[in-house]
Amino acid sequence: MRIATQASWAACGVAATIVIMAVATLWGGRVEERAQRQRREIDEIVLAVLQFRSASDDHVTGRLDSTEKLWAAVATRHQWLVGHGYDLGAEEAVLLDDLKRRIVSAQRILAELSTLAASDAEDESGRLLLAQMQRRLVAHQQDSLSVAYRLATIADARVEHAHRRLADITLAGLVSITLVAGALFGLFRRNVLRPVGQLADATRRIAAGHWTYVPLRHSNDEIGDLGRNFDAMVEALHATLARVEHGNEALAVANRELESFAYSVSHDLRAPLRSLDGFSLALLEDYGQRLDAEGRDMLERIRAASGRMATLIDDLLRLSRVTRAQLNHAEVDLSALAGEIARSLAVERPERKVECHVEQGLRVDGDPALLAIALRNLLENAWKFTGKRDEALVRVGARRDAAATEYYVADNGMGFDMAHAGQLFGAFQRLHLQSEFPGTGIGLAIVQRIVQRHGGSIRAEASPGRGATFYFTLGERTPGPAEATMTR
Amino acid sequence: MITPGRVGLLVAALAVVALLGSCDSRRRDIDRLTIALPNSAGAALIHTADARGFFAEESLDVTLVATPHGQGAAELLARGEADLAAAAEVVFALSVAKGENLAVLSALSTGGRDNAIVARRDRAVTAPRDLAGKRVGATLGTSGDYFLRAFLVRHRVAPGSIALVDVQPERIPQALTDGTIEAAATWHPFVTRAQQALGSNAIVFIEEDAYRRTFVLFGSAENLRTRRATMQRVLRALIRAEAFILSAPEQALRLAADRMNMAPEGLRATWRDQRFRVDMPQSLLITLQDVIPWAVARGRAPAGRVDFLAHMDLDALREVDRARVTMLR
Repeated sequence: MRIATQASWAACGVAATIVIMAVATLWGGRVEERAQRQRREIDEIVLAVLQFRSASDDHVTGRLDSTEKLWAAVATRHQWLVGHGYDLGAEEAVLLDDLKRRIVSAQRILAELSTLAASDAEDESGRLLLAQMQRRLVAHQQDSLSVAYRLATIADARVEHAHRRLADITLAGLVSITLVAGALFGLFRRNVLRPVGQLADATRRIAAGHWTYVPLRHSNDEIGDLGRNFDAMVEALHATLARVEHGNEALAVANRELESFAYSVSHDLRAPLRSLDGFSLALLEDYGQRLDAEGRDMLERIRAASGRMATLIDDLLRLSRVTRAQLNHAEVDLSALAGEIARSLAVERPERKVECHVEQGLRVDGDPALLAIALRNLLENAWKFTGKRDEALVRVGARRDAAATEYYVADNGMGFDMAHAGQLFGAFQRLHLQSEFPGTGIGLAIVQRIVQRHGGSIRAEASPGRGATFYFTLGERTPGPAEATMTR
Repeated sequence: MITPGRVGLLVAALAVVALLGSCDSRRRDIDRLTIALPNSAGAALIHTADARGFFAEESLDVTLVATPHGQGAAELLARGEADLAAAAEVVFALSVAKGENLAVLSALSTGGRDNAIVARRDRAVTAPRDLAGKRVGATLGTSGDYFLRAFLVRHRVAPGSIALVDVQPERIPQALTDGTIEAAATWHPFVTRAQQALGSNAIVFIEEDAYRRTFVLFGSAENLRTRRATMQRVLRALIRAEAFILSAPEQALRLAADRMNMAPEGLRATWRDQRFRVDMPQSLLITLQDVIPWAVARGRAPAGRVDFLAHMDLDALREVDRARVTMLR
């Protein structure tokens, strides 16, 4: 059943329970109210009987009018009880009838007594009649009181019963609501909370890279739909990941072949290049006197070109080595390494006045040799592009946030236009003229390759004439491809 | 396969069955009781309790012995042939006045229209005062006898002005038709039978302001005291019969009529007037005390005052339902 349908049924169930409880409470309240009112009416009857007795005791004083009124009051109450459709009960009906009969009889006796003359008491039959009437009157009074007492007892019992029933209704209502609430919570827990929890657990595991996800049995409701969609998504993700892994492997093979090819080509090109340079030098030395100035200039150009080509081949080989080198992880004190490189640069270029600030305590996990190459390239860049500053400033430090730690090398050199930032890390890409800042344009490509091999990334922020900052991260050591498998 | 656990379970089950059996045998400890009672609506509670099995459910084996009148029931009690007797309070009062050590267990019913005077119109009886000088039949020592006296007093007819004839109740219709008597004081069903015997010649006088008969269940004071538990079971059965009459009056009427070998219609007239209630009302003492001077005057009881309160076994009913005892001691 769909959750929306279940919710509708649950709402109907709760509403029905509340309505039933409200109706039952209302009904119980009415019954109690009627019982209370009935009890009050019975009280009035009891009171009337007591007054009737007092009045009949005074019959000799001739207060018959008061007894008439009292009986009228009793009769009115009796009529009221019957007329209002109260469930008087068989015994009450009999008792009320008996009471009525006794009071009527007592009235008759009282009326007759009032007609007896004083002289009648002197007559034997008169005395006997008087004594008989008085006995009957007293008997009626006593029986009427007994009846009134019994009526009051029954009315009390009815009030108590009504009160107890109201309490029972309230208790039953509370129990019903508790049961309904419990049942709803049970359903909610079984149909919503548990599957959502399982899905949340599955997403958490997958987000953490644990692909050991076993699809669940999904119900035929909205949560079930969500689960099925989640399964489909995981399956699609798995397929995509497999394709990416396959592509990465192919790419890695191609890269390795390409690097091997580049290394071989570079290596193989060095021999003819050495011949070219050697023979050009021999020609210049042995036959230079026979050549005119233009001929010698051409030979010099050939030699300069072969020298540049040798440098390019060396750079290519360096890049290739960086890519192919085996990573040997160890803890690296980046601060110490930067300081050492800075000092060596100061020795190599004594004419430069460069102020270098290195933040202390920068420790990373990585390959010490490769990180030294990367850091040297970045610092050499900073040295180079601050060459036209009288007061060059180079800073090495780190920025930390919750996600990662970003290391940087900043300078106040020439900077560059961020519009060309995309070309920065390409091999042999240059943003400045060779005549201004010599170089092959391979340094930042090497840095990027090293950072990537450590699982990190590199970016730059700069503006022309205001210096440049290179930020790089070194990723956490992640499980190898063998660990990142998904079980379907 | 029989395991020790199963054997234990079987033993436990047998123990439970034995225990239940012993409880059941205790329940079957039945008290035997004989109740003498006349065929009168006043004793309907006893008939109802017996017919509905309320006595049996209280583990009582009750034998009902029908008598022509309450006096007969009292005589059976006096002879030890009954444990309890049901009769009008007049009968009980006379028995006590004669020195019998009896006690009332409970009142059973009251009614003001059960007793009546049936007279012959052709003997110039058209009003109560016309009874003076007539031969009036009554069963001496019964409520009919007492009612006749109360009726005469009520209508200021000197009791000595009539010729009282002792007639057994079943003989009254015949005595009226053959002229042995000109009027009779009796109770239902003999009132109806006399009326039917006289046909249009009958005139009936009812006077509920003079006397309301109370039927009581009584026994030897000693017996009631020593068999208190049994008497309480009797009372419980009668209270259940009372509830049954209230809840199903028509069914109860037919059942009582059947028990008394009467047509339901013959019982209906007096049934409506009866108030069936197991209680001990204070007003009972008034009638009982009034019986004595009458009985002494008629020579049916020795002179002297009787303390009827001492002949009321209030405790048995009080322990069953104290609200039913309004008599003060």
